[in-house]
Amino acid sequence: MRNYKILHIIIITLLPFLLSNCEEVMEDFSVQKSDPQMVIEGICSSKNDSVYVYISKTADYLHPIEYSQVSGAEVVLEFGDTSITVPEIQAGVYAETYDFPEETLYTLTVTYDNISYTAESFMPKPVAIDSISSSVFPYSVYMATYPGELFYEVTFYFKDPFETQNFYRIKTYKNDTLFNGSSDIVVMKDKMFNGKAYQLLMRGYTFEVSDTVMIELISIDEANYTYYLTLEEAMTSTGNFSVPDNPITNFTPRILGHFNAFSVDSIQMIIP
Amino acid sequence: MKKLFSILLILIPSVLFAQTYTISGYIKDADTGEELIAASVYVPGTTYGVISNNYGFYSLSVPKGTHIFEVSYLGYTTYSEKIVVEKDITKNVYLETFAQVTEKVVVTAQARDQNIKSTEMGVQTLDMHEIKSVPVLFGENDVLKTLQLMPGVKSGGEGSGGIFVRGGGADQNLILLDEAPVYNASHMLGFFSVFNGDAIKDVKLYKGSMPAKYGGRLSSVVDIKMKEGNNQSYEASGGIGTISSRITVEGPIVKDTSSFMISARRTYADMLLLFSKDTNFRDTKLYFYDLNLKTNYIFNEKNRLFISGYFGRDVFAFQDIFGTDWGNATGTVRWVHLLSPKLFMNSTLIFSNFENIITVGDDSGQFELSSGITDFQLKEDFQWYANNSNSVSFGFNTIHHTFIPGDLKSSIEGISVSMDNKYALESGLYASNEQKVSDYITLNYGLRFSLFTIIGPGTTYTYDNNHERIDSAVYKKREIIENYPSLEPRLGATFILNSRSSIKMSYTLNNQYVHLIQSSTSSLPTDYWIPSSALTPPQKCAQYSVGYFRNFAENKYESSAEIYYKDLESQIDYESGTNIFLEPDLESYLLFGKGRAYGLELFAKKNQGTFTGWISYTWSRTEKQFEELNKARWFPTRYDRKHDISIVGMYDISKNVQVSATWVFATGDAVTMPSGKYILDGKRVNYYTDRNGYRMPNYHRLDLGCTVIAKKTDRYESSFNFSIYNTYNRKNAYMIYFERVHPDNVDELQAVKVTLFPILPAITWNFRF
Repeated sequence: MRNYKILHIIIITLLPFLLSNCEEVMEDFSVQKSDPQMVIEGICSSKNDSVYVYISKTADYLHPIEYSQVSGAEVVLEFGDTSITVPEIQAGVYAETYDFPEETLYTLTVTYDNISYTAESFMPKPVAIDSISSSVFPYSVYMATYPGELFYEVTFYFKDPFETQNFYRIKTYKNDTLFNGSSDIVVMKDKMFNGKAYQLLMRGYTFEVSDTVMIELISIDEANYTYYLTLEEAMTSTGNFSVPDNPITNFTPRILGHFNAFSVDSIQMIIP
Repeated sequence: MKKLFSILLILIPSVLFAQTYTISGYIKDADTGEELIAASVYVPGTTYGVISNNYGFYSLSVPKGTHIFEVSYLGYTTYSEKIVVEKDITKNVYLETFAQVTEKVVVTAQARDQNIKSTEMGVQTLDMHEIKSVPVLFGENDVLKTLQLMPGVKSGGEGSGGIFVRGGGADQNLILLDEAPVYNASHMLGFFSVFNGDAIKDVKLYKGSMPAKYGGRLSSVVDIKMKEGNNQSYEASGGIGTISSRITVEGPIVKDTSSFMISARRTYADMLLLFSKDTNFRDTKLYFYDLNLKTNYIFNEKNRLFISGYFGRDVFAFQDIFGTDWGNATGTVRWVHLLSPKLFMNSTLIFSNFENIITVGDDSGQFELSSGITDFQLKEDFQWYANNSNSVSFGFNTIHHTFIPGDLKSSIEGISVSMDNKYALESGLYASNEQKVSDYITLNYGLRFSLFTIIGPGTTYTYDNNHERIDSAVYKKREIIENYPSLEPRLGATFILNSRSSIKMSYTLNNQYVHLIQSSTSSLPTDYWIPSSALTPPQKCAQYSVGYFRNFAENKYESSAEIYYKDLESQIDYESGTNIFLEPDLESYLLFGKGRAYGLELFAKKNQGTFTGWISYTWSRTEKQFEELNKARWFPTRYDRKHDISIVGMYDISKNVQVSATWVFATGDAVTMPSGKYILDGKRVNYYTDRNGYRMPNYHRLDLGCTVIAKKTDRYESSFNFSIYNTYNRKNAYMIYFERVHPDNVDELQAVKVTLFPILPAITWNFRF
């Protein structure tokens, strides 16, 4: 029940009342030009036993020619007494495999142009998904559009650990394809259901009979929870009714991007 | 506080006149018995002169002898009488409107030079006739939208009824309806204000240098008075308009002694939805209504009782999926008592409530979210007309606030959230004096002591940097949690250069203890109020202003130039990504910063004749600074519009036809737009640089209106009002979004502007009998 969604519903409903609101492409609109900024995305997962660090630069907003890759950076990942220098496997992509332990604090340091950017991320233990079920999607709107066809949505169940504060990100796949729009950034914290068995209905994701559904329950730390929350806002906010800002990074000094060490549990089902 | 009063008493020079007597009484409309506010009462050729107060009461002290006694009021014929004064005199004056005197001869009453001589500055008053003549959206006359045409007052955007005064926020206006604060003065997402023009008698806006009797908001006071009702004869008036209908009935309960007024309005925008092709919209409810009631009883010349109330609701429902029910209710009981011809007392009990309920649901679950604020207030105001050089106001008020920040009920177990109600007392004690030091200098000085007390029951928390509670304290019912005292000086001076011009200066300090938490820049039903606390300090504002006032052609034209500077502290914003909705630890997410606003306001008005109107121009800047935002640099607020122009003209073509036109121009809003993008997590992510670093395109619009009186007799009047909103169909940008140039290419984008209102004609039929 996010605010912008309510605003959206209100505006949509008001539109016919507003009779003839009109839309027009603004040919002369130009956005401010900014110097390309460096972006670091570091992901380290116990699921794939791998670390990937993507280093790139920002591009023009309306007419991006290319997102240039940053080569020649020094990338070092440290945890406990271990220090790994992550090699560049292709332009701007730095990767390494390793049996990364869970419940461990990782430190990523990227050095480029004599500036070092450092971020820490704690990789929690994965939280197991107990089960998954499907039910008929109740909105009649779809029935009207596709008469006779039934649409399904899924609910999954897991037990939140009591001792720890947990932060989750949920990814949904349909027939091996990830839902990856801006509104598909789903994160939550256990503040309201700490230590309880919890069920989550993936509202808005519709499936048909014999679709394969996969849910990933990704355990992340608080800094990355904040990052995804602010990332979602930065992507969905239009700037018309709110003041968007860049997502809150865990890198010091501040830079675009983040470093996320996470663990995953997943479950799959075929809609009967 | 005893000390304070002693100081004030010392400041008031003792009355040195050998023998003075007081003439006092009420100024009323001869036809309806309504009291006239701010009528001039004076002895021509002397400096003896006063202005009637909010209840039409005046008190004029003159030396013993024979005097010419005159009363004038714009739009009414001047009353003149030779009076022999050898004792205190009670004199009620009934003024007649021009129309009542004659319909053919235009009587030009001598306009008074009030704007030159009064100590008030940064004040705008609206004539109800003006409000009704100015063309507006859908033909819905609107008090707040007419105020937007005044210098220093900005609108909240296309069609919006919100007002932003001298760089202040939407929550920094104290909007009073018969002295009861109205917490959300808008209907339908802000497109209309809650004030039904038919029920309103008088509107006055203080843009900063508000008198000491007002407090609690930083940027302005909008003082709106409801009509009392005709105590001479029964009258019904109303109208049928494009989107709403109105009816007002008023009349005497006991002639000359008691009257009533009932006014109702309802919109029917949802009727249009019945014609919608999309069946989803046919089940949509979308309307609002207002109900105003007022009655008064005159016990005798010294005692009067007023009871008034307002109730309004917005009803909005989209199938069974989404619904809102929100609105205001106010109630005022006031006893006006004349202790002596020089001492006027006003005791008021006020109730005010704003609540909003949102329901969201489908087959799998129902949610109901409610939030609001409820006030009970006691107010005592005294006005002491000490002598012709000193007029003293003093009094106190105390408000009991109950804040309901949010309560979520759900049919799904485990989802319900209830944020604790919060309680507070907001009190004020004030005294001020308007002192004529000489014929050329008038001072206005006052002091308000304000005290905000947070009381139990309640729990307070302290937080660490990660918004985690680290400590808490529990308070019992009525236990004092925290006190915020503050002294607020209000100073003003008027230097009269000559009968046509003056210079005025003022300094005002204000505190604000209640804060509106807004999820977006537009008025949404999810907005709610919170009190100050240990974590949320009171907002503060100091305002300095200087003005030059000049009248021309025997006061037929008035003009003014004012400059102001405002210094704001503890302005509220919140961190990016904060979900302010139902966040029990919201206070730990709030950010506090500084603000500054300054500007120049030019105003010229023609008050009389067949052609009337005004031009207002404002040059202004409004900026804020937060350590945590925009790299700690100053950034413009959304409504930082450098240039703002309003031109309003009204012309009486004949006795029965009046035309009017309004043109407005404003620099585009400051908004935040991306200046680059990058790929992360397989998505295109916007890159933002400067906060509010972009400008929407400039806004301008012409509205035309025409009122034709179809029939007019003594007993019946029927008229049509035609209006055209946005006459030259300017496509003003309401919002800008970005879309793909080619559906398959995620990278190439273009900007698309959404225009809300094209050229929109409206017609309203008004009647009166």
